[in-house]
Amino acid sequence: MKIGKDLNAASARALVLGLLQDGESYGYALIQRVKELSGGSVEWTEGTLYPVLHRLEAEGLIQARWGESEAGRKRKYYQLTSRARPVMEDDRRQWETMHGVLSQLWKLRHA
Amino acid sequence: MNPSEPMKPNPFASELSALPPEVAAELEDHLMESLAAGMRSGMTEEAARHAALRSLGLPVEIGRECTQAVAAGMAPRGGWGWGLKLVAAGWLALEALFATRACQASDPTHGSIGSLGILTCACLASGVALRCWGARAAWPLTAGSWGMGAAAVLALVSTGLQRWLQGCMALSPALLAAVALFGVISGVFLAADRLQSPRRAASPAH
Repeated sequence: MKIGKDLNAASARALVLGLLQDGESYGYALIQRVKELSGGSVEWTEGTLYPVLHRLEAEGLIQARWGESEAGRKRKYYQLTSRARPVMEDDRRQWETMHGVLSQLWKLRHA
Repeated sequence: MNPSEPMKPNPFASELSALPPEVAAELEDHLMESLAAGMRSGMTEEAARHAALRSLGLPVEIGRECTQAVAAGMAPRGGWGWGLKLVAAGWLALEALFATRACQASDPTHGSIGSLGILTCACLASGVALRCWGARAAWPLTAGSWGMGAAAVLALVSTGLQRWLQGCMALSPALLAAVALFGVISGVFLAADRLQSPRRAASPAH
């Protein structure tokens, strides 16, 4: 089962912030990690991740630094800022609420 | 270094050439990682190059979306804090009072000072309106109000030396100067609030 485009877009911020909880990372690695965690269900069009990262950086939720890849290329690494924690907590509550509502609705339907 | 990574000059140079350097460097890293993964999985370099570009999407489009995303992220979000509201309301009220008092005076110089106050007030109001609508040009206008406020302070300091000002106006020059100074401080406050937007990573050195 593939996750639809709209749901992918809606969950992008929560996913990126969640992924960066483990420490700094970069675009390609984030995409691979999402694929791995979702068993391939979540397939970001790779290019859609970068505008999300740039927006979160502009909002001050993540910060970036330029480093080097193992091959010596320039690589942009992202990490969470202190402003991200309350946003992540808020996102988590919203997703849990939505999940709870939908679960109840679907339980009622199948009852 | 990973031996499976191609060491040729950037094979995506033509696709990335139109992008801002920062976005181009980031996408180049992505494409090169993707290219290397494709080659590790047994693709030829050309096939891996095409696969990498297909997976990523159009670099020019991504660059455009990144620019828009940054503009959207920099736009003011949500309501104003109470401090900002207090400064704006207090400043507008005091500027109005200042302009009214100055215009009531008989000497035409006072009218000029009043006009300056009104101009300062209008400048801040424009800045406030643009802030509310998320325009990125807001901070130069708030900086403009700062400059106008500074001009008002100078005007009041110079006229304050003349005794007739005290006779014509209920407010003392010192108080009027304080009012104008409040305008300057609030202008600085607004401009600083704008300038304290999160810093973006500096572009990679080339």
